[in-house]
Amino acid sequence: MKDAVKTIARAFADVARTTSEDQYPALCTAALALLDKCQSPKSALKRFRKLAERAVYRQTDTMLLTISSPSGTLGEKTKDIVALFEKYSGRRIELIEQKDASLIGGMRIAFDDERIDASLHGNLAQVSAFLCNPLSVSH
Amino acid sequence: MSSHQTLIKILEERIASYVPSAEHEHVGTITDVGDGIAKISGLSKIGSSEMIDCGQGVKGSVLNLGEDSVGAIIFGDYTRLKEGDTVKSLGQVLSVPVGESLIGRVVSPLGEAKDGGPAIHSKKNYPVEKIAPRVIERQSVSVPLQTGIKAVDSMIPIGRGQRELIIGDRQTGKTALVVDAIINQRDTQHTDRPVICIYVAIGQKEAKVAKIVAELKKHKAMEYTIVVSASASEPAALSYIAPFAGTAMGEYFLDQGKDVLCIYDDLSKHAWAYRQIALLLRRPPGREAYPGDVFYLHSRLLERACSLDKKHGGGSLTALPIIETQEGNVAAYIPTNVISITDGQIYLEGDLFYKGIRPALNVGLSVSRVGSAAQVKAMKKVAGKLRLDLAQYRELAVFAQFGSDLDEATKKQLDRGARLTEILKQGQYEPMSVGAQVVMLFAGVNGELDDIPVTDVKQFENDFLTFLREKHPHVLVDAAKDMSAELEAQLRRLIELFKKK
Repeated sequence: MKDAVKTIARAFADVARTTSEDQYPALCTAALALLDKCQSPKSALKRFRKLAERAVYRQTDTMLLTISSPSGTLGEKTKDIVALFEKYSGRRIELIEQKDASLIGGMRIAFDDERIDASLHGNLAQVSAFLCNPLSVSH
Repeated sequence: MSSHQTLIKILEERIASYVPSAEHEHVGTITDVGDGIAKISGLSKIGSSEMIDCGQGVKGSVLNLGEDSVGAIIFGDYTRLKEGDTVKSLGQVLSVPVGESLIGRVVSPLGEAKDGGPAIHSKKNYPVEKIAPRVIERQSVSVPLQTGIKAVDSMIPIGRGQRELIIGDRQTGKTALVVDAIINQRDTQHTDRPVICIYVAIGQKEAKVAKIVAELKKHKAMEYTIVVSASASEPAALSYIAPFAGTAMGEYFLDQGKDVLCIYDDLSKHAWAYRQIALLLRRPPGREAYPGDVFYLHSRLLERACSLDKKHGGGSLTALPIIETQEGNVAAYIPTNVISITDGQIYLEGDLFYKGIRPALNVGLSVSRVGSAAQVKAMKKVAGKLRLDLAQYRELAVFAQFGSDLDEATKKQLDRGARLTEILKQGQYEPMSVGAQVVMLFAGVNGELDDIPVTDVKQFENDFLTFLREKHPHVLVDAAKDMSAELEAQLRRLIELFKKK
């Protein structure tokens, strides 16, 4: 069953490449019908979405870059970050900007299975771990 | 400068030296969590057994590596995690704190304090999984590990660096035997080769562990013992890593050239925990639903027991794994696996236990493959005849049940065997020194107790040993080394003298 979801997701991505945008709804309906036929549970749908996304990005050599910040946008800095990633990865960047107030300040960048945490929240966690290490006190 | 001011100064220096930096993390997202395991999407570069931080103070370890997802076991409360949570790789394999600070403490398999005492602070961490020492680094087992139990030290001697399995049904005295062995190591603490003990409780009741700890404290054995506990109410993941964690803690002392005794109570529950984890991770089940590598689970654990040569420190790690059988079936899957791995087994029988023979050792089925290489000279001399006498007694006892007339030689053999069986009985928490053991076994095998009624043998033993301790302590000291002809003659005289009194 697990393999069936993966196979359908890859086939979906393959077909989507050569299909026009107006046919995407029909393609999605077909994929869902196939999943139904394989008696996939509801949780498989979420996996299917992720697998399909991953397959599409792999085929189009695209990197999904998610930048989270407290305000939701970094303004001009965003372009610089995207340009930097494009230069060093050699891949097309698809940018998503997210708002996350818990970061307090700074930003968090996520791409593939990596994450760069330059947020104030992350720094505070580092400081906490740093200070909580046992002290060596000499008298 | 007062200690407060020193502390403030150190904190200020620490804060000033902190350099904020962006942290690069390898992350994944939980897609499924439940029953102590989590399926995680992402973490494409993670290694097997690598630790992950699931957030909220919960950690885990990755066991299944798939193409687009990984399966991890969770060491903690998995109900705090939910689908969509981000987990990050910690970049290190599972490791536990080790060091002298653990001695005298009751800890979890992750090295967290469980005895209500202060948190464990350790300068070093050792990996839980480690390749065993190679052949070239080892030496033959030759130094005895005295358990203080006459039946074991005489007929199934254990050496330092050996793996000796203790196997039997429930309530046959397996744990009692190992607790006595731990208590007996108190005598080694003032020698040049003290033994540090690690008792790993796997899937046991908390009440049982508490009782064992209380008993060890009562006999001052906690001063050199670490108790690692993964109780029945805790996740199976902790039971799975508990024996490996205990071994890692022991390897710290082994690397310093010290002797360590590791007890795994018990590996049956360890195999159950591993089976549970493997089935939840959808690994294919094999015989009795155990995963196919359940043999490797125990073999890689027990191979870490060793006696290292002088070039590598000269230390040793002795393993006493315990296996619980069902209805005496030693031919079941897990028992046969572990029997084939270890260097011998001590088989405890329920029938003997209920007959009053405690420890309920089946001498016929028990063996130590190290043998007399791990015995002091004195014990070697007296024990050689003991096993033979008992074997003959067991054979003749069968015929005696038929009630037929017996000749004098047979009656004598039966009487001797009954008295030897009586001598080998021992109370719980009463380990005996080597000298005392040698003296009593000498008296038994040489017929010095043949004129004492069987029911009075135990009383005679207690009184005679008290007599020696008070009036002739040097005899016990000499008997622990070697039985010379003079010492034998002296012992016979003393026994005669005591009998007359």
